[in-house]
Amino acid sequence: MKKYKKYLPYLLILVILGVTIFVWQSVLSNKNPRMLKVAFLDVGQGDAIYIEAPNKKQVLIDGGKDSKLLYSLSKVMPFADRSLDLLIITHRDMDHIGGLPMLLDGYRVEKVIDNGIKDETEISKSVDEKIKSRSIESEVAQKDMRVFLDKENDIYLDVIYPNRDVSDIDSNDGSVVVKLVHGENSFLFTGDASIYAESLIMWEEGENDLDIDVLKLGHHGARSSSSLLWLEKTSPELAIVSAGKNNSYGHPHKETLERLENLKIPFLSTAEIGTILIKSDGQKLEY
Amino acid sequence: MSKKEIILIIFLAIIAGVRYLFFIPQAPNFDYLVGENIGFVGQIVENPDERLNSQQLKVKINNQKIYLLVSTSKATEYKYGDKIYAEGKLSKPENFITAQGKEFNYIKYLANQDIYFLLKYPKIEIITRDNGNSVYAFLYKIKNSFIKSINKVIDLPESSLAGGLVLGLKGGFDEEMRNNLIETGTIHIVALSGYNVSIVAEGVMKAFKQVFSQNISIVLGMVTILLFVILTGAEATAVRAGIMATIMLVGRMTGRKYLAGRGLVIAALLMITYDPRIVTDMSFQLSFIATAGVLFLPTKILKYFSFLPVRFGVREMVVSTVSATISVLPIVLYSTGVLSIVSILVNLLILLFIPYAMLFVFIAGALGLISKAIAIPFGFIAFIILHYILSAINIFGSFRFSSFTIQSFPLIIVILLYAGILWWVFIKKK
Repeated sequence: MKKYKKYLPYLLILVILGVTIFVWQSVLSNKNPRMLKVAFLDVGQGDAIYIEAPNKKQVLIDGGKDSKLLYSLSKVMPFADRSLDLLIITHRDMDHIGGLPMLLDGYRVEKVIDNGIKDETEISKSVDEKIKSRSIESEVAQKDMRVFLDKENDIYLDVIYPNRDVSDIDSNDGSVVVKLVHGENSFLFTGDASIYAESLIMWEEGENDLDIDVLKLGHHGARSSSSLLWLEKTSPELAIVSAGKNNSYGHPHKETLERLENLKIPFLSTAEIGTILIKSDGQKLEY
Repeated sequence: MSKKEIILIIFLAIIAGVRYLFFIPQAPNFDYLVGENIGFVGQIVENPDERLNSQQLKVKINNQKIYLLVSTSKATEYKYGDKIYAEGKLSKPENFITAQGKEFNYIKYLANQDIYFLLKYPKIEIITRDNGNSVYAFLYKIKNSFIKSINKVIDLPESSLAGGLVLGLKGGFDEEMRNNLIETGTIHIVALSGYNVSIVAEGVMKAFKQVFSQNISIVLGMVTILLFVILTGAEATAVRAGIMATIMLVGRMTGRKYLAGRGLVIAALLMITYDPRIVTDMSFQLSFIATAGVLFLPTKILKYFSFLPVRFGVREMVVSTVSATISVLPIVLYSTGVLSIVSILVNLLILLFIPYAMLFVFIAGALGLISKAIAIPFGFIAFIILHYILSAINIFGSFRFSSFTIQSFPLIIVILLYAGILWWVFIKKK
């Protein structure tokens, strides 16, 4: 045993070294701990948005189309972190829930919010089954619902749609639409909501302030979403297209881009630059 | 060769012939059903083969010796031993052109596993679970919890490399990663090869040798190999890798290369006798030839590498790498057509770290079964090493000049090359 013991210190040093690097890496990666992180993940033709509040509360909105979600997610999450505080499923289309069965297998999710409409596809049934078998708390989104992520830093999510029963309309227009607010900054995540849902929101909100800073364009930048009126009303500083490179739908459509051009709204696309990371300190945005 | 050996070989050849003609199941005559909708009850007979976005189930039709390969989405989790009802359109496998531009004989590849028909994305219902052999069910259970444990404490994509290294899983790689592995000549690190396992077992033996006698440490090395085989689910390729690793280990540790060489030939003959189709199996060819190469080539090429330091096993590693590369090159050129320019360089850059990567993946995976918190430091060390390996492969794989494809490489040249190597190793005197 004596000779064997001489290896023990080396092993110990290695482990301590590992721990040290790990700690420093997590400290350095979070230079300003009061930053809110919002990442539009590169998941190909689909949607997945990761939000991390300064108090480490983590939210995922939609789950991409396949297991690429897990690769992109692990790049923006802390090392070996396999838990999420909240998962929001905007609606049940494949390109929004495709990666969720794999996510639910590998990650602990505390709570799920969706629009309450179930779908008969295999993938949707599998998502429901996994939510049930892991006894994850589940809630149906409704307008005026507010989820506080970080009270200390004034960060919360507001559900602004559905504002009515959406079980009979087109599944895209049943998308949960949420607004993320951090002090002066705000984001609007629209799922696949089309011009119809946009109109319903504007009608319902009336004179309420819909002005935000970052708008995720509905339905991957399709022409059937993002009306001129909607873009004017939300007047984003930046628009985001979440789409795949050379996707078969031709997203984002040129009509949508023309509308952005007319209003001089710059946009970023996950198809071109991969994961888009935006940081907010409550005053200004960094990207 | 002595008279006895010749008689033994002839005897085994006769058995192989008899087995091939009478015991290996022939393709079932279901061609008339191809393109039709069929429904059947069957049982999953192997651990599902998980790919990036799909899984493949080997299903045995009830009461018949007919196997189907069923591909389905990953939405539902299937397990070994599930009895299922599947309904869909029957199809036949087709050969395809790889990203490197060479035809891959998929029909033969599947036929070697008794699979002649496919069912793509059928409707599946699970009837009952846990119908399989309880020993296998148990082994697969260990394997699957181990995979989950690795995934918990190592981030993607490094964790998919980890799965490849220690369990031979290739499902986690996307197309780009797979091509980079092929084009840098490093795909063997994620194949279930005897070489990897022998490196780890050798490390274990060297450690135990400090404490126990040579014989006991050899036994412990073999126990390591056995554990590995069990962990990978004791599938045929894993058993083969285990046998090859044992032979390589005995050869290297005892220095009795010719004894090990004889063991290798006998093992190969027994495998061929058991299932003669294995001769055409590329992974069998590669592991046999690489093992032989690592056993016999070093004595011939060592003199060219005397300038390298012996410390940290650098010289040995270089010599083994070059030996393995030379010995498999003809067959790689013949079957994949890929001539990697950077192969030896990249292999040298990464091979030295692979035993450590494997070691820490093993520790992290095993500890992760108990507690995630204590596994994380080990997982992080594994992650750093794996990250380095992946970066080396991706950087060199992305170069245009890293490899090129040779469209036709005739079999006769392969045979001539091997004849040349054999002559060089065994007949040519200094």
